[in-house]
Amino acid sequence: MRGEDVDDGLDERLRDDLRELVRERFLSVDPGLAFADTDNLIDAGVLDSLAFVELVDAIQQRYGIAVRDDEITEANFGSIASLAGYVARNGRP
Amino acid sequence: MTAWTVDDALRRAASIGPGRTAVSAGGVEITYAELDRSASGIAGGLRDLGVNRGARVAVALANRVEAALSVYAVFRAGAALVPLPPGIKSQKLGQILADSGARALICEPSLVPAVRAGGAARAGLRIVTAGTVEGCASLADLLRHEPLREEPPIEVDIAAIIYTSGTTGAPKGVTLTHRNMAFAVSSIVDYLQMQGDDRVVSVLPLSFDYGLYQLLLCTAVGATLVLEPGVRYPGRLVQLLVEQRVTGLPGVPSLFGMLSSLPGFMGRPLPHLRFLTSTGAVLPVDTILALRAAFPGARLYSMYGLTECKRVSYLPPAEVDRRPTSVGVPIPGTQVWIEDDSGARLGAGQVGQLVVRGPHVMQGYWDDPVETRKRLRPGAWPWERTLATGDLFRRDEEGFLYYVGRRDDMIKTRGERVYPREIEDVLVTAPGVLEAAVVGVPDALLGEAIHAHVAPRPGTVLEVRELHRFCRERLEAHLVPSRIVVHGRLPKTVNGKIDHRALDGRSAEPPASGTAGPGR
Repeated sequence: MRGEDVDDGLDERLRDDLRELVRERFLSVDPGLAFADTDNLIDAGVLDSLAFVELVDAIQQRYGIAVRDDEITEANFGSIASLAGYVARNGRP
Repeated sequence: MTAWTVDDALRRAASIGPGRTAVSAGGVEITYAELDRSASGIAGGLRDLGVNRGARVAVALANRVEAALSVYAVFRAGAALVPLPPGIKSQKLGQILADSGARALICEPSLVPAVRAGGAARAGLRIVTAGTVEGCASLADLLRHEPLREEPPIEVDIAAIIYTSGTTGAPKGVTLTHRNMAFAVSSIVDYLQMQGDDRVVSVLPLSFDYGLYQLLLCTAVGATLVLEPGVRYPGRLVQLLVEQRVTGLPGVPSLFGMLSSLPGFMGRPLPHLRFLTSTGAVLPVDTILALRAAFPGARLYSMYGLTECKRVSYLPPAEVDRRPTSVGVPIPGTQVWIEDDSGARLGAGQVGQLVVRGPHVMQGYWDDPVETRKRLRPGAWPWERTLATGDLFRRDEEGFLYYVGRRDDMIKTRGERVYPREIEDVLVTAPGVLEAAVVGVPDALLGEAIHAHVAPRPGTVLEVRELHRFCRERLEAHLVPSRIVVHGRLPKTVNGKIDHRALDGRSAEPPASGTAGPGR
């Protein structure tokens, strides 16, 4: 799920940024784990439900977004691509 | 109509409120009349597959409507339910199917290859799937079967064998009669003050007895169970709490800790919420305080139990502000006491093993008299047996219970007995520490050395040197961990508890043997 009103260059940079953030925070013990931008982060073994507290905290700090508890869903947080869409829709540039 | 069995409870719910919603899951809702009718149909189908009274039927389904139907179908057939996680690994599945001598397995289609590949499918095992798989019966076919019209089970019939993984590895089957389970249900319903208009959301797997009982508790009062296959996305649970007007939320400490850390959750009005229950591990005091402040109108139950008797104690909600670290008093209709190694009963303040007496105590471990004798002891009468929990407790002057630790987790260092909880309780109050686990590691000089494992709160960095200083200022010298290891997050068991066994080898230079089991 991508932000449709976002141009491809910006979307690409945002995805790179988010991929880096997720790797840094959650894959320090397993840096070799590969996952695609559209892979579900839970199914890929990158995150579990308890990790969202930390991910949300990181997203809030990095992009200045006030994430609401009921926004932490698969549509917004399922994959790098859905995260990029969510940040693009809600974040400051 | 008295519910002597957990099957009677469904018949009663279907006769009193046939049109009430029994289970809601993934957009599907079924009424008590439908649940009752489906259970009879599937039970008839199971009978045709050779499931007779007293047979064992394993159920490995995710939290969905078909799981509820299957559970009650097994009861109705007079068989014993063996609840298993839907993602169980083939080796363990094989062990359990063999140990229980299961006649049938009702499972997710995705589990079938594991059943076949692992040689888990013994001769005579009938596989039923909640879908369509070549060579397997389907739940949908069973559902269309003529309802079973035979004498229902009675309270002395076996109702379930629930496997727990002991610290030694081999799973042990906790064997329970209908009387054991129906009694536990009525006792729990009583202290939780559950009502017919309750709506309970459960993300706990039905293979976990805490999850299974949510279904049994709701049925006992004709309430609605909202089943969700795990948490996955916290926002989904938040939406359910609001949209489903949930009145009861059972959870484990890590779930409540997670919820209380979500942005905005603690300021969210949830006017329908009547009760929160926590068991599985000790609920940290700061989580209790946060939940109490956020949901002052909801009753918060801190509880303790083990599969061998389902539940041991609960803290009456009115006491939670006064004694937040207590797990309370025995559940209604039961007794407990604390005794030393010689069996002498101990008084207030003294630490010893908790012993449980009551109609909820299991019959034993399935086909395992040796392990059974370790847990079940001769009671006051020739026919009675009491349950040695293997857990250390103390009580206060007014009889309220406090969990101290697993007897097997006790660390002997420099000739002294040390309870990991004592040290963990200090570590979790250190700035930035989210969770802590303390284990004993064999040490030539000390007997056992104390190793601590900690994980930071989101966005904080922990300094081992600082933590050492923090411990030295607050703990006697022999209690200060000789080693502190910082992890990103601590490993968890499938039930969400900190996995001590996964930790006890980690910090040791020579791998340590398994000394610690999961806390409850």
